[in-house]
Amino acid sequence: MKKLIAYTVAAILFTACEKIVDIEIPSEEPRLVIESEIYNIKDIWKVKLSSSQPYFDQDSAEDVSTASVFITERGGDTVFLNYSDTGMYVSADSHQCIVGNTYELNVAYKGQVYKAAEELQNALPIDELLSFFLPPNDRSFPTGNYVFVQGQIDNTKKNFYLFKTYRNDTLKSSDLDNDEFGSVSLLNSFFNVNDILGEISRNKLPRPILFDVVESDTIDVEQFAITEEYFQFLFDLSAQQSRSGNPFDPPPANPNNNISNNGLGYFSVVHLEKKRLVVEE
Amino acid sequence: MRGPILVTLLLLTILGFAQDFTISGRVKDASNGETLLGATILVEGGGGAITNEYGFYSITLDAGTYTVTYKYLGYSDIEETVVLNENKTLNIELGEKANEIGTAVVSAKALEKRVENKKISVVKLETAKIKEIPVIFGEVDILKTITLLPGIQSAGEGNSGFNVRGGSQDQNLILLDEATVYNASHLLGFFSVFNGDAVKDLEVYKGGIPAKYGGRLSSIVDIKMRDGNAKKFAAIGGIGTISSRLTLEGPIVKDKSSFMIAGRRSYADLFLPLAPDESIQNSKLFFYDLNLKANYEISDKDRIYVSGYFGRDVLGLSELFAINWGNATATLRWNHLVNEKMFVNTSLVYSDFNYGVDINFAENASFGLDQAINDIYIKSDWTNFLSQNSKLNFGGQLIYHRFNPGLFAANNEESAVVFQETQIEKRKALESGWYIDHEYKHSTRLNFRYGLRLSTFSNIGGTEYAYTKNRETNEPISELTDTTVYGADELYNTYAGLEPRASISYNLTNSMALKGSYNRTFQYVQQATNTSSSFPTDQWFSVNKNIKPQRADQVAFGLFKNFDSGLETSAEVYYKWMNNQIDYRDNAQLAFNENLDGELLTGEGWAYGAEFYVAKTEGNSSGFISYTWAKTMRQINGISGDNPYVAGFDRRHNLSLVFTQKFSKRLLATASFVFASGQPLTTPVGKYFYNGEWQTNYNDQERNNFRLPAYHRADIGVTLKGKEKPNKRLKSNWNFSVYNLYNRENPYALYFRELNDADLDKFPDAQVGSTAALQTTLFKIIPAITWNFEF
Repeated sequence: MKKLIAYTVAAILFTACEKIVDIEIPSEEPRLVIESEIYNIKDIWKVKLSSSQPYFDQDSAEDVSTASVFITERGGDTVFLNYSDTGMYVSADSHQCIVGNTYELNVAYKGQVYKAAEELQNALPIDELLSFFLPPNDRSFPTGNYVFVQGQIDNTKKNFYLFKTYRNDTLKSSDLDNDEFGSVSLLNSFFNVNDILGEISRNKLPRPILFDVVESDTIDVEQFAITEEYFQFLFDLSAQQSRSGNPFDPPPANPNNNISNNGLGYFSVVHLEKKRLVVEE
Repeated sequence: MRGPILVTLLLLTILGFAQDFTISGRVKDASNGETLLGATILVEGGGGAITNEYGFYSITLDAGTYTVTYKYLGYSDIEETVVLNENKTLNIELGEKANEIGTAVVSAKALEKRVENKKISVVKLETAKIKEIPVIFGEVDILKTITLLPGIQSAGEGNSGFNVRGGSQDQNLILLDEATVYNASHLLGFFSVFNGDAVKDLEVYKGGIPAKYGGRLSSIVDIKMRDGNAKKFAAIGGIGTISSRLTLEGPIVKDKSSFMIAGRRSYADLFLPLAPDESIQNSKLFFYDLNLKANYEISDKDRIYVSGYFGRDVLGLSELFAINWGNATATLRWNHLVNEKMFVNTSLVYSDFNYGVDINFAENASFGLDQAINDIYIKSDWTNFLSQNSKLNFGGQLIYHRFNPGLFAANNEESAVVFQETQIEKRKALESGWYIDHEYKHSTRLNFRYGLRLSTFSNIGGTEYAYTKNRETNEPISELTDTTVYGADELYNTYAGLEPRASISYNLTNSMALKGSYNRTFQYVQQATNTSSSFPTDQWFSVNKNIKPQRADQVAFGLFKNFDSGLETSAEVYYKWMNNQIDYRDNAQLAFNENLDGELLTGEGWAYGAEFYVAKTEGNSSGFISYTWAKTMRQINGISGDNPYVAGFDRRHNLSLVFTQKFSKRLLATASFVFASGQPLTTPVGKYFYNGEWQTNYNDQERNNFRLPAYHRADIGVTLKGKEKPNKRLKSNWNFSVYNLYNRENPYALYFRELNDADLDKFPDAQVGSTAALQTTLFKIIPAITWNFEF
């Protein structure tokens, strides 16, 4: 009887089963997908073009190789990009974006023109990338090696960041931060790095960007200062991507982007700062 | 508003001086002293009355001698001869009909009466009917039962919510002894919060809503708890595989005062440690609830009732995530007879719903979110039984609402470092409703009911935000433009609405009637949800400067016909226009968002449909067929490319079949089948490769562009009664039931994603990196056994 009851109960609660189903859903005509990021650092400009496809199509994405692509600095020069391979269009020379200037992307493909424009944001440099080992303590903070970033927040405007963290050249995390929570920002601007133990005794821990690193790990942090639109695009893209049928899912929709003519993807102009740290004992 | 009421009162006092006499009193159940509401009192030679929700009736007649018959469904009639030369009080106790097989005689006269008494767009379940409801999981679930009836659509599995005539779930006002129940589901919809043993009567208004009720757009579900046995101590209960329940009741002072206490607890969780999977062993899933009621008859004119409900659900998935939620209500009522024609009930009511979520990602990432809505109200409802053809109802209510939109706090010190405690500003509001309503029987053929309700709503204190918002394009908010802070007790943003209500009934023949109704309703407190099913976490919020009250107008027509063979049939059509309907904008951010207003867009809604019902209520074989065709649309600028789209809960076809067969005095079987069109859903229309992974591409010009496969299911139940022995008080029965008999895998959710390495455990054939549609099914076949007892 006990077994029967247990079986019944288990059956009720956990028959919630998941399966892959074969259904037919509506499909629309392929759309152009643009993926491009250009920087304040002198580099070759790259734009990747591909085509969207039916949802259940299991082929890899189809590259677009017959478009004409150029980027114009508003009030400045126009740089043409030539097709290389795998959907990538590249500039002949290296270029550097300037803070406050706007860059316009222009893609002509199959008789349609797709445009996008963004202004390069300013950002304060990262002051420090620090690591420290936190021994067992009376505050019951978890023991271990913490890595955190410290920098100042530019209080003259709203700032939007994307932080990418690499541990030994492997991407470990990608965090969006809009210093909305002030001291909770990944930049830890209110944390006194010269008195870590004192701060911890006052119940303050920096917001770590990595935890559990070990000696001689190489940690790289890239700080991308981005526009509010790009921040929102990345935020919505990730929310749509992690849909699971829970009550906090956003309604299904495409994130708003900056590409005209129903193009998918995003053309972003970003301010990049890098810091490296080799963890010592 | 005070003026008109005063005038009416004066008028009624004058009318009271006319030269006639009144018979009044209460109608009760002889076996337990429960008052019977909706009992019919017929006066020979025409005329009559129906008892109100406290079993009270009043008939005014010229002096003379009358034969008066008292009737109630499932009870034996009582005939009284009354010599009326003064005002008389007649308290009547009706006895239950012996429930013997083969003796059900259907009198044609009773059937005729029923078509007349049936109100348009109203569903009523009396005590006797509740006892006959098909039992699933060993218990009667009244909310699940009403979703089998026309015009009331179940919101689906994992959800005890329902949609009435194109209304969203938050547009249903669910009242338990006059207290609002904000969330009616237990075990994520597996059970409703209403314990069948504690419920006396239920009425659902889908349309033709009397002026007495307000505050919600689409429907009123009015549930009354039993008073408790005033004659003797009794216990009812059941022990089952899913939950157990026990009700104790009895007199405090015989025939003057009684109590009832009813409790339930599910104990599925007690067996979880037996599960082979470790994550299941650490899970929690249970509910408990308690209904309490007591009443005291102070005098013939005064009676006091106290009732309350308390329930809680706990759901935890291993150590990672836990959520608990529950309602608490309390009602204090005072019935008073001003005179034999004037009945008044005054109530003080408390209602609370809250939930808490706890998330433990890591030792230093452990935090919780708490939300609550809490109401206190006072109401007074007056009825003047002007004459046997005319009844006047009037009254008012004041509701003080308090909302806690969210407290976000760390659970321990480690987390407090990372997560700052944040309290989203609490809100307060004052809602009121004032009404006058006249029921008038013009002739044996023609009946009217018409009324007017005035509702008001004001925000109290706090901060009001103004946004730049393009009203025409309905774009989501961009920048905060203005902030106004009001004093703690300051009323502002007052909205008011006039709500006319009317219904008419015309009897074509003795067994056929044509009925029509119109009602306008306003709603000031609402809930936003991103899914078609409701979760306890969906937030309740009030209107404010940015969100205007919802308004609806509904017309309905119906044809009712009873046949001599015992068949009752009805057909109704309705059309409903709705204003200021809310839906989330594309990409709305829902988790812990202080400016939730900014994520909502408002627009129009409309719904229409046809409902058909055939029932056989008497005899050894009984049951009903219910079919609804319905369409529910929304048009909201900024959603679906400004195009009209089907609402997320639209279900075009709905069919239910319920069949009950009595095989012998001891053996009873029920079978039921439900079919509903699949739920609308927004599916991808393509995919694209970006940022190193597959992204989904939606058609932003068409929300809800697809439908899930249809929902259908069959259930059976068998009840075997124990042998009744004349000297033994104990009665018992065994109930065996099977839910989802043919193991249909009905879709609960369908979602689209890229398959990853973790999927290989579940789907060995999965192609990692490919995109697929995944369907979850909640409840497959579920057998259950319960032993029920009564003594």
